[in-house]
Amino acid sequence: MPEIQELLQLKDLWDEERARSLTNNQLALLRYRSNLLGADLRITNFGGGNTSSKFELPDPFTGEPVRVLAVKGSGGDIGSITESGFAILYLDRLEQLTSLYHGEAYEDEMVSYYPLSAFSENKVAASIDTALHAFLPFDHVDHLHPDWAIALAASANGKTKVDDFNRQFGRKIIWLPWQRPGFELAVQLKWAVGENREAEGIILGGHGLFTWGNTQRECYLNSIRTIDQMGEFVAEHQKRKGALFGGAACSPIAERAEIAMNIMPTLRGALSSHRRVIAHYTDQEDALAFVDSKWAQELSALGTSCPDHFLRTRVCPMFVPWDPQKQDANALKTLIQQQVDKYRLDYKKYYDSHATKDSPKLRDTNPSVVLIPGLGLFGFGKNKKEARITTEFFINAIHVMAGANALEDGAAPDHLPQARNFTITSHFRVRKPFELNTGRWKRRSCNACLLNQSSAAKLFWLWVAPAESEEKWHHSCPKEAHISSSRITTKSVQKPRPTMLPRFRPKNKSLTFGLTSARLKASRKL
Amino acid sequence: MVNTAAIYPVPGPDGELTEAQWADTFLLNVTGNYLLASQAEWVFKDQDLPGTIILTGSANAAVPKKGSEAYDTSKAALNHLVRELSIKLAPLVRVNGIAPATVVAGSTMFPRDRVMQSLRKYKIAFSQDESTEMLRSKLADFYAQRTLTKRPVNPQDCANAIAWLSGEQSSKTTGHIIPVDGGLPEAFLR
Repeated sequence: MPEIQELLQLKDLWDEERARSLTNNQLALLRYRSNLLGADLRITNFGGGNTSSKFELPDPFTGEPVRVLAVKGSGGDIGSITESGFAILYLDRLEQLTSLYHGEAYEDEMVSYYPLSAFSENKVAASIDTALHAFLPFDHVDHLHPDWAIALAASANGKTKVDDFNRQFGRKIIWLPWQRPGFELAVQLKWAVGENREAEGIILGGHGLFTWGNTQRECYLNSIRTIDQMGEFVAEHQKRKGALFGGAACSPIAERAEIAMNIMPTLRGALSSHRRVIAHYTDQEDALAFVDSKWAQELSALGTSCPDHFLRTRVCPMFVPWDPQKQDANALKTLIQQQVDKYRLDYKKYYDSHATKDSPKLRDTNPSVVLIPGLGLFGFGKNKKEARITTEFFINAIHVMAGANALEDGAAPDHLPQARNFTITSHFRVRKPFELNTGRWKRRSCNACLLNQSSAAKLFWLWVAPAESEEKWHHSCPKEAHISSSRITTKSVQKPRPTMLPRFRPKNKSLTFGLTSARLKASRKL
Repeated sequence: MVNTAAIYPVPGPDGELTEAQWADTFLLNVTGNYLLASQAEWVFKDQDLPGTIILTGSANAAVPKKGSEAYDTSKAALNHLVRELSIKLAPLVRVNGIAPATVVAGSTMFPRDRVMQSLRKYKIAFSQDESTEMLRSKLADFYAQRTLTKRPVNPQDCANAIAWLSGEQSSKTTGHIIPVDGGLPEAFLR
């Protein structure tokens, strides 16, 4: 990695003395590195991303040193994780999984092998990203969701901007089109890195960033320097751009806190039709800059920018078209009720038009994020903490949109580079519903390039949780990994299905991702 | 909305309260609760979700005795306020109360001095070097013997009753006062 100038936005929090005291304990160092990364919300959102290390531990059976992979457990948060929050697995067993892999249509089945690969007494549920940490051939890997990187990952011109970024900073970050988190993605990452030995990181279209290192410190440095540089890259574009989101449509009102308090019971009551929720209100500067902007309503309708965001903020926020200059608080209360009714109807229509017989039932049709011009941003959750985290996530989304807006440099390309299927025309079809089930991501491509949208809307490829049917993905599509300097030809990873399935099926029901659906799919195939 | 705040006015050395103390007692224990309910009313109405209000009365509101007339009559007034508020705020908001008795443990109504005074009054032996907790539990045990269940009433008992009144389980109960007094026959008909 070439020598890079000082960090401009982030801080290098690594304490060499502290690290030295943990020298022989790779797990403790991994925890240290993770906590440092998670301490800054610009590096990754709460609960988002995962970190891993590969090192040796004495095998409880043979006493001999054996290579293991320690990776953040499912559902953990790297900022607060402790040693007991990491899943530890035999690395060789994970590596053997490629020979058991039948192709993308069956990738959910691979998840059942993770608990079988657990090392010693470790019972932590392994993250869905376990395989991709295992297959990236580096001892330490960080997968993070920094707003600046997601701006690049989700922008319509993101791929070309990554090329510009590499040129400007002398880096070698490669671009991989969107692939649903899972075994298939792990295989693609391994192959992409194999074809590009000098790569220093990966931007996964529509998702996030992967960086790595041969030591804990190297990995940490690579991560924060890459993110810092991306921040600088975006900041430069922002400076050149000037006003974001089309400029201000209104200004924040002086009595916004009182008015927010005044309308809060109406708002909370309106959103509690399914379950009672607690609100968190913020009028922080970056939130207001978005909410008060000319494009706020339009951008709100586009939805969120990456899987983690979607989990918290739902399909899209509810924008209340209140004019603080002309209308009073009572008018706002009426408007809120009208908007909620409309949001719920739209939500139901959306669900009905995409649900299949397998889709989970429609439950809560209320928004979890509400935007009111002049006032600010409201986030909702089942308790105070969840409400606050919801607002943080939407502020992450705002940062992503701000970054993408800043990076915009003209018309959107004919096809979006985040897509896997390059025969899709400029008008994406919304394919499947986005209801989550058992925590697995389903895929849907979003109406990003609607022809009547303003240039604002064309900038972003904002998608929401995908949903795939088995029939559609039975034949895996050719994929391409784009790198700054060369075009790589693809190879299909689908293998012919063997006649016998492994007889052993684990009875462990504690995994929260995909085990049920994997079993169902497997039983249907037989 | 739950309110457990009130005052117990402490008489002067002559055993009597001043007029100002009488006025304060009613202001805080009765008027205060009415104002609280009025202030909360708009929030409940704007939310338009079923809600509950729980106010804290006392067994003293029903069981007459001497020495605490201001407190006891203010709590009797509060009992009727619960009933009337339940009509005023129906059907959206239920209003109920609890009527605890002799919750000695951890209560600011039973500071060390008052505990010792009561122990002397009831001729219960104690010594100065015993801790406040010990003195309190002696008094609590004495009170408990005068109830049907013979066990001291503690704050958790009150909290359990409040929790029941504040949720959906009591959704058909309003305008009612639940005794948490260990079982006092004198308070049965109120």
